Formats: sequence, C-alpha cells, structure tokens
Amino acid sequence: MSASKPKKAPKLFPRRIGRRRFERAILRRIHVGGERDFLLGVYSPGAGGDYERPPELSDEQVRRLRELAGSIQANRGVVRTGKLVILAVLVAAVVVFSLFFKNPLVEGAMERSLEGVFAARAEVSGLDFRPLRGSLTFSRLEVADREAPMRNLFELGWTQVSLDTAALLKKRFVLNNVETRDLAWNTERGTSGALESTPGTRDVSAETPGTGEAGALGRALSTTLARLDVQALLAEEAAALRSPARAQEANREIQAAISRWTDRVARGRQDVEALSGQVEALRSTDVKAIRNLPEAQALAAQLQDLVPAVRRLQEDLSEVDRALEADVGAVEALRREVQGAMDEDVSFLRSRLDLSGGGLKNLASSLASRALEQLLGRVYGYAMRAGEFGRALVERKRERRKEGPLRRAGQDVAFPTQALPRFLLRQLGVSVTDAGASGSGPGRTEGSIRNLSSDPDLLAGPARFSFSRESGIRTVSVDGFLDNRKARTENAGLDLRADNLPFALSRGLESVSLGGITGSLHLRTSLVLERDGRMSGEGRIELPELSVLSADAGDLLGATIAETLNGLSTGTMDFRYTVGPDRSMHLELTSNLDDLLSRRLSEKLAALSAEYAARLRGALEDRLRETLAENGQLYAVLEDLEAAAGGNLADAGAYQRIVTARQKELEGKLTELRQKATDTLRKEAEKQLEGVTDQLQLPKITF
Amino acid sequence: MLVKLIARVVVAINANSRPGEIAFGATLGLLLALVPGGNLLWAALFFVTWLLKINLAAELLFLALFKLLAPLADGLLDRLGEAVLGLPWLQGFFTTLYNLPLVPFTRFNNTVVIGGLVAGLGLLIPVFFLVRALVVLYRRTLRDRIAQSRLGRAIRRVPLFAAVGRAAEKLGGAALSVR
Repeated sequence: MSASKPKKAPKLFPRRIGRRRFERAILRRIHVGGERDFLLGVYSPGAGGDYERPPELSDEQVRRLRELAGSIQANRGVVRTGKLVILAVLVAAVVVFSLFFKNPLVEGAMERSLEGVFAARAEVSGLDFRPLRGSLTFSRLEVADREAPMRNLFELGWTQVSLDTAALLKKRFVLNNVETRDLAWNTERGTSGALESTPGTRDVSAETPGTGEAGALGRALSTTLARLDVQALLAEEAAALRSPARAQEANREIQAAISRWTDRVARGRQDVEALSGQVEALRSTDVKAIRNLPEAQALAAQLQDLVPAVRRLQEDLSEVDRALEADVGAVEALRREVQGAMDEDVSFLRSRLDLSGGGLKNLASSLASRALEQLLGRVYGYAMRAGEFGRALVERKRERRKEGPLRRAGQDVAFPTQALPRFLLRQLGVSVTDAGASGSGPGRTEGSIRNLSSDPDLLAGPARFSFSRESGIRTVSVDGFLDNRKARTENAGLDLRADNLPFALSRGLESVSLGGITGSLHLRTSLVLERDGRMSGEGRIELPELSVLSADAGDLLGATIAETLNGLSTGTMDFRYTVGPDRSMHLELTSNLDDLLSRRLSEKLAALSAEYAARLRGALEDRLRETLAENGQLYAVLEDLEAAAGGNLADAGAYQRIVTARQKELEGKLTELRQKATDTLRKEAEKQLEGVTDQLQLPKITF
Repeated sequence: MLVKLIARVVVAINANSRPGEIAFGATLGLLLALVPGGNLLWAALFFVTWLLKINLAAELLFLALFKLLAPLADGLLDRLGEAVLGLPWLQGFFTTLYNLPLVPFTRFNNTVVIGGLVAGLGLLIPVFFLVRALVVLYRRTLRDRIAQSRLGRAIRRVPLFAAVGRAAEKLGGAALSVR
C-alpha cells in the first residue's frame, strides 16, 4: 500500500500572503467566526508582516480552505456575472442578427412567399426591417409574370410600411406611413423570371389599347341635335299637338250641323212646294177679269186662307235661315280655330327644333348640362360610397377593452395623454408610372390618403385624400376630405382640377351636319356633401381650343356652328349644382358660348327656321289632309243647305209678294165693284124715285 | 418547495455568505411582496433581482411570506399610493411616464402598485440593515449556542425541522455542521 499524495491548497491560499491582501481580500470576506478562527489558525503573521502557513496541510485543512475559497469567491461583487454574461450574449446575438442576418432573412422570406403566391421569381432589394420601429422598407420589388417570364407581373419602387409600435402596445393600430412609389406592371425583365419548377410558358403580346370612350359631352350633344328630324319630331310630339284634335272636333261640329239642318231645310222646301200650287193659281188669276161680286168674294176667301199660310212659311223659313246662318258662322269660326291651332303647332314644333334662336340661346349650356349631370351623378355616387365607408369604419369601432383587473384592490389614476384611435392610417401613398396615352409621353399617377381613422373625433381634422395624374401636358388632380366627426358640418368635399383634358365628339352630330368636335378642356370644380346627404358645388369648364368639322360645307347650320366655334378663342362654362338625397339634380350652367352661338345662329338660322317651318306645315297638313278634306266637304254641304234654305225663303217671299199683290188688286176690284153697285143702285133708285119724289118727301139715303 | 427554500436560507445563514446578500434578498422579497404582481413593474424588479448577487432563497422566502400578509396592508398602500400619485410636483413626471410606450404596462398609476413600490423602497434600507444585523448577531452569538443546546437538539428532532436539516445538509454539506 503506497502513501497517498498530499492534497494541494487552493490558489487563493498560497504559503505566503501579503498582510494587506490577506485582510482585505480574504479575511474581510469571511463572515463566520469559526471559519475566521480556522483561517487565523492556519495562517500566522511572519517576520515581514506577511501571513504564512505551514507548507504541509492536513486533508481536513485543505478541504476547509477549498470551501472557504469557494465562499470568498462567491462573496465578491454585487452582480451575478454568469447571468449577466448570458444576457450580454443574448443581446449581442440579437444585435448581430439584426445587423447581419435579419434583413437578408426577411428579404429571403418575402421572396419565397411571393414566389409561392405568384409561381414566378420574385426579387426584393434594399430591404430594411426594423421590428422595434415597426418599419419595413425596400427599395425595389419585382415579381415576374409566370405566363411571360421575360416580363414582370408588377414591380414596386421605394416602398415603406411603417407601424406605430408604441400605439400597438396600447392596442391601437396606427399606420404612420404606407407608401409605394413607381408602381408599374407588365415591364420588361433582363433575366427570365420562370422558376425552375415552373412549366414552360407562353409570351403574351402587348394588349391593344382600348378605343377612347366617347365623352359624355358627345352623347349629350347627339341627343339634342337628333331632334332636327322633322318626321321624328312630329311623331314624338304628336301628343302635344292641338290642331289634329281641333280639326276633328270641327268636323264633328259641322257634321252635327248638317244632320240638324238637312231635315229642317227639306221640310221648308216641302212647305214651299205645298203652297206653290195655290200661289200659282192665285198668280194666274186675273183680278181685272172679275166682273161681279161673287167672283170677288170667292177670290177673297181664297186669299183669306193663303195669306196667313204664306206669312207663317216666310216666318219659319226666316227663322231657319237665321239659325243656319249662325251655325255656318260658328263652323267658319271652328275652321279658323283649326288653322290657328295648326299655326300654333307649327310654332311649337319650331320651338322644339331649337333653331329659332331662342332654343339655341342655351345650346352650349344644355349640351354641357347633360354631360355634367351624368358626371356629377357618378361623383355623387362615389361620394356617398366614400361616406358610407367612413361611417362603417367608425361603426365597427368596438368598445375599448378594459385592462385586466389586478388581483389586489386599487384604483387606476388617469393622467393626460394623447388618445389614439383604434385604427389610424396617417399616410398612404401610391405612385404609378406607365407608358401613358399615345402621343402624350409617359404617365405618372399619384394618390394619397391621410388621417383615415376609426375614431375621427380624436383627430384634429378630417381624413384627406388626393389623386393626381400627369401625362405630358395633361394633368388631373383631386383633393378631398372625408369627415365622420360628430361635430362636422360636411360629410365630404372634393376639389377637382383637370388641364388639357382631351375630348372628341363624333356621334350624334349628323343632324346639325357636324362631322365631329375635338379639343381640350380645363375643368375646375369643387363640391361638398352635406350632412343631410345633399351635394352642392360649382365649377368652370374652359374650352381653349375647339376644332369643329362640318359634315357638309353647304349646310347652313353645320357651317355656322363650325365657323362660330372654330373662331372662338376660349369658351367658358360656369356651373352650379345641387344633388338631393334622392339623387334629384338641379344644375345651373351659363356659358359665354350661349350668347355667341345665339347671336351668330339666330342670324343664319332664321332662314333655316323658315324652311323648317314650311316643312313642318307641309308635314302637318299631310298628317291632317283627310280630316281637312272632310272638313271642306262638310262645309260645302252646309253651304248647300244654307243656299237651299235661302231659296226656300226667296220662294216664300215671292209667294208673299204675289199674295199681297193679288190681295191689293182684289181690294181695288171690290172697291170698284162696290162703287159700281152703289152707283147702279143709286141710279135705279133715282130713276124710280123720280116719280115718287114728287109725291113723297123721302129722306135722302146716302151710301 | 417551501422546505427547500427554508433550508437554503438556513444554509446561507450558517454558511460563509455575506449577511448583506441575505438581507438584500429578504428586503427585495418584501418589496416584491408589497407590489402586486401581473404588471411590468413587478417583472422588471424580479428580473433585476435575478441579475444581482443576492440570496434568492431569502428573497423568495420573504416574498412568499409577505405575499400572504401584503393584502392586509392594501388599505394603507392604497392611501399611500393615492397620496403619491396626487403630489402636484410629480404630475408632470407621471404624465410623461404615462405617455411613454411601455411604462403604462407597469401599472404605476395604480394606487396599490405605486403605494407598494414606495413602501417597499422606503422599507428597503431599514429592513436591509435590520436583517443584516440579525444575521450577524445570529452568527456571532446564537449559532453555536443553539446548535449545542438541548433546545436546539430537541428542535432538530421535530419532523419539520428535521426535514429542513436534512435538506440543508444536502445543500450545504459540512458548512452547516457545527464546528
């Protein structure tokens, strides 16, 4: 059995320790009296003031020294170095990951995700992900088109999504900025975007750009000018014409008069003819040939019956004649009324032609009004939808969930703080670059939304949005707001500004012999959507360059309009409008084109108007031809009746004259016969009395 | 668990550990007991104590003990917290804290939380020196006497204390043995 090797004392306890070190670094860290005594028993002060221990220590001494060394080591410092190192390593790992691995990892994850979604290569560059700031930014993103690997399905320029993480800790979703620039699609790629696992794809040719949409102005213009078709106008306005009904009414009146007088005139004729035999007999009687009284008395008796009959006949026929004449007068008035109604109808139709100068006084305004009504109707629809979206965003707001109560009682004291809405989008921006319309150069579109919130009352102002589009000299910009605050005065507002906006009208201009109208316009308008759902606004349209083509140079109307508008420096239209909650629209539009067109056209359209009036009269008469012919025939019949009645009356007058003459003759004859009889009796009496006179004095008899 | 904690504290008191570590652990345990849990402040305090060289066993033991007693002091803590949160000259400070990103999660604006924190901090130094003095006193005068007295030997035969002793022997080994 070999002797065991002596155990070695810890390094903290060498054979010799300086006095200062022994007291400060060792003895001061021993807090148990027994251990202190043990150590002082092992170490003793030497000659130089240092503490020394014997070179050989027992196993028990070594064990206790080791325990002491461990406890002294543990009693150093105030921080647990090991844990601190672990923490430091963790922090350092996070920092290193953040500096060197975070962005490439996120970039790779984004690319893999996009490739999984679009099945084509996706490339992200310049990515900067800052989780504590809630920010993700990249300088470029391209996603290839799996159908056309040499083209990009879309690409984004500088893009940022910035979230307010502090607000997120308060359970508020606040997007500080969501912005992407230079959004483009269908762009060319330098390398194939096909994934290795993607099957072969076909190339897609560029789409044919769509034909330009006919402008609302063109549709409105065509609608109005189509009314120059006379037959179409007559057919369309038939219900509003008075003359056809008046003519038919006149015919019915004449027909009734004819029916009424035909019998009466016939009866008069019968009466005349009934007396004609007696009157003829009377007329053939020679009163001078009457020689005696009985013959005279017989004639007198005949006259006594005939005279009242002739008088009654004459009176009856005179009454008929007067009434018939009155009816004929009424019928003539009706016929004049028919003509008057036709004149009125022609005037009315002329007014509907809008060629009289009065109608064309507001030609430009009416054309623009129709286009604006359509445009504003759409704008109103969009505004209402935007308002509904904003209200829905607010109505989805949930009650704030209270924080969980502490297990122990207490009260939460609130301090002033900035209340944040549950959802807030401070800034959203998008810009799109495209090839632009043909001939106008590359186009750029920008849009932004600011302060869109679920709790708008917590913000100082309404949500605002803007949109702008530039393509060469053509620009369109829209600035507006959407207000859902309780104390708001208006729901939404919009300012629209468009410059050099091209328009072209080609359809519906044939009726005015115009081949087309092209030009550009400047539009300024502002509108407001009130709380009650009413929309109101005003604006101005400027037409700096109009090019009007006349379809037929010889056509007066087309040439005049073309000449007028082509010679115009700048046309302006000022409009003011309101749209009710029921979408009923009231639009007032004035234009300097109105006066100009009215003046020029009224001069030249007078002739055109007359031509159209003649055509209208002809067309109207064609339409009333049968009715008017019947009217003439009926009137002729009535005139015949009137003539027959006059003949009857004349006959009756003749009868009256004959009877009167015979009556006078008979009276004369009777006087003559009476005188003769008297004379004869006197002579006979005188003769017979000549012998008696002498004998008798008889009184004289006188007759 | 509790026996183990007690044993660790017994070992620490009887071993060559700094009295300040035990005292600081006990004091922080009291502080953590006074502050209601379930908030960022409590978690932060606990994390700090995890990094400091204190006696965790003492901290946890005192935390467990005073956690049972702390609700009894909630009335006082509530009034203290209300008074502190109502101090006019601290309103700006509290408002700033209230508007910082993470600080509201400390629930410092709760009267019991801030009352517990203030009371704990106020008791930190007195309790520290008191416990430290007791530990020193125990080590100087009572440790050996108790260990060698009949009472001490009788206590060690009580099952609970016997279990503590066995656990302490496992944890502290010879350090606990009376020399």
